Amino acid sequence: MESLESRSEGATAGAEPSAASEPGSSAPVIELDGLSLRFGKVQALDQVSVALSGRAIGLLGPNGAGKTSLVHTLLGFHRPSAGRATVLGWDVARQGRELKAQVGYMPERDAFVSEMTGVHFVRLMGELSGLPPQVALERAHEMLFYVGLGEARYRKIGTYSLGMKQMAKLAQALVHGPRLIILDEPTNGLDPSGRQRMLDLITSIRDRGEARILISSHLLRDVEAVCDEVVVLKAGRVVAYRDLEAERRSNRSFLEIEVRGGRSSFAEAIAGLGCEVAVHGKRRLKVVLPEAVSVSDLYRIARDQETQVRRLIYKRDSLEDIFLQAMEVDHGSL
Amino acid sequence: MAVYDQGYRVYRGALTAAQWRFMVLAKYALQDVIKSRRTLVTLVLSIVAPLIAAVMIYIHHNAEALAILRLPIEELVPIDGRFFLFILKAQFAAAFFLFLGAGTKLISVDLRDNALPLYLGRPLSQAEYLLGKLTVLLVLGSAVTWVPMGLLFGLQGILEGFSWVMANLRLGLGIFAGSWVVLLLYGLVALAISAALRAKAAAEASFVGIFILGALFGQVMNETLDTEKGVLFNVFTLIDSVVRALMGITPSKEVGPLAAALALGTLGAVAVVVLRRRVRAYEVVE
Repeated sequence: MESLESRSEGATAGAEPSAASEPGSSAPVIELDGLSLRFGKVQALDQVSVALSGRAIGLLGPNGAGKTSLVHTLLGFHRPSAGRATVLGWDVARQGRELKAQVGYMPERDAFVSEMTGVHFVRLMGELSGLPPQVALERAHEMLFYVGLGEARYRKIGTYSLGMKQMAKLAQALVHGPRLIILDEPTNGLDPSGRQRMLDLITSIRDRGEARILISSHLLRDVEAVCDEVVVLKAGRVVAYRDLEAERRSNRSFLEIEVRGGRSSFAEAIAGLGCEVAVHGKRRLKVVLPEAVSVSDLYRIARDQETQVRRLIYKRDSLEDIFLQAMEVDHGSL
Repeated sequence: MAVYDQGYRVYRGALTAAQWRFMVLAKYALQDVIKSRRTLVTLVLSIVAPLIAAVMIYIHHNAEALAILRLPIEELVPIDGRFFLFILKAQFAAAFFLFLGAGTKLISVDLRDNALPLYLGRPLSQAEYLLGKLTVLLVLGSAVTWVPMGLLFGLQGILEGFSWVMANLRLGLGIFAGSWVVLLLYGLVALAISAALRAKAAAEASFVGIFILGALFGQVMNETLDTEKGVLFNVFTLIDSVVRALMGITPSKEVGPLAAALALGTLGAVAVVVLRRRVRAYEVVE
């Protein structure tokens, strides 16, 4: 029982993880190809196709959008009814065991063994992931210190506060040193300082670059704070995808313009210049200027069309904007 | 990494053998179970019957002891299949109480704390999770059934001679096989109840109910419907019939071993179905 084997979990001949599992790689960490999941009459996921390679990936969507179903499918809890999903190069339907050895999962709901002390619990989880007992014990101590539970590690988890339980859940997700960490609503129920502590930990893991992170959340600010790539789900379909990191780096100019009179014709005219235009509210337009177009071109068109420009500010879409726009999409897909 | 070096790092060292990973679960669960005073008391009490049996076997083969006690050997209980069956039944009772206390909470604690996603989110299948939990019961149950019975069988063999062992080989194998039948049945039923009912009191009551109230129900059925089929609800009678057949001693008059084995198999299969449905990494909203 104590005999040790090589790092590769299981015995799938020729199965090797993809380059995505290596630090610093830009290979997709999660690839979904027409992934569908059905529970009886309920279509939980519908032809989801996307390739994600960010260091920290945000999974957004309203309740019932399919976030948890997707996370559970990636963990091998559900078998896809159609399509294919690979995580770190492992096929979730056929190589679940190898995959789960490389993944740390922090569920949304409370999940622990209340009668165990923190260190006993985290050590158990480490051993179940294949760490030798002594290594599991050592890493359990390290992870509990890392998440700020060093002083409470010999207390039973049942006596922990809500915030401490969240941190214990994070510690058990990290103890076996996974290459992908899946966090389902990690800041749920945390007070502001606890939330900040959690976000700081996630950021530090992300910046260290050894593991990728997938965060499922409905808290846009949290996702925006730590993620560099975002997928928005609605009714089991992908309705928006943004590479936030690329957008942050890009030179694209985002403008928010408030006009009075002739909004539609003004929007059409500037779209004719090659601008991306989104109508927002009764008077506002969101515009992305291509490099060849300047703001003075917009003023000129406004003058020609006798449209009043009441306000013009530089502003890129916030995650909230992306999310709200995505929610307006009916049956959209990428 | 030292405790003061607070940074996350991926683990790149060796892993333990995957096929034995379920034993981790068994090890931790066993540590938890034997902390219970009730389990320890049951384990201690379970030694009483084998100890008395060992003394009886010893006296049977010691002329000096018989003379001191002034016991004529023909008045002693003979050391035969019925003797071993009687002691084995006492040990089955000990296993019943052991599983009642320890088995009915093994899975419910994980369900109460929603720990299943943590276990099954690791390289551990549902079958391995159940095997880990069942192993705890099989280890404890073995300690009170076939292990002491095997020692008694060995003691009798040493004192009586190798020819006795060869002549009673089926008896020995029957004790071993019968013990495993009972341990697996008790274990699966205890785990199924533990998976179905989270409240400990309700789980224990259900475990008792299946075995004891089942027997009462069968009796009432026989009386009111003027039938003999009610015996199929009496698990203890069914076990008796199967174990007798395995040990090669006088068969039960109430139910044949084949019918008994089928009924016990059905009960075990129902327990497996319950376990398959209830032990999941996620809750199913019906």
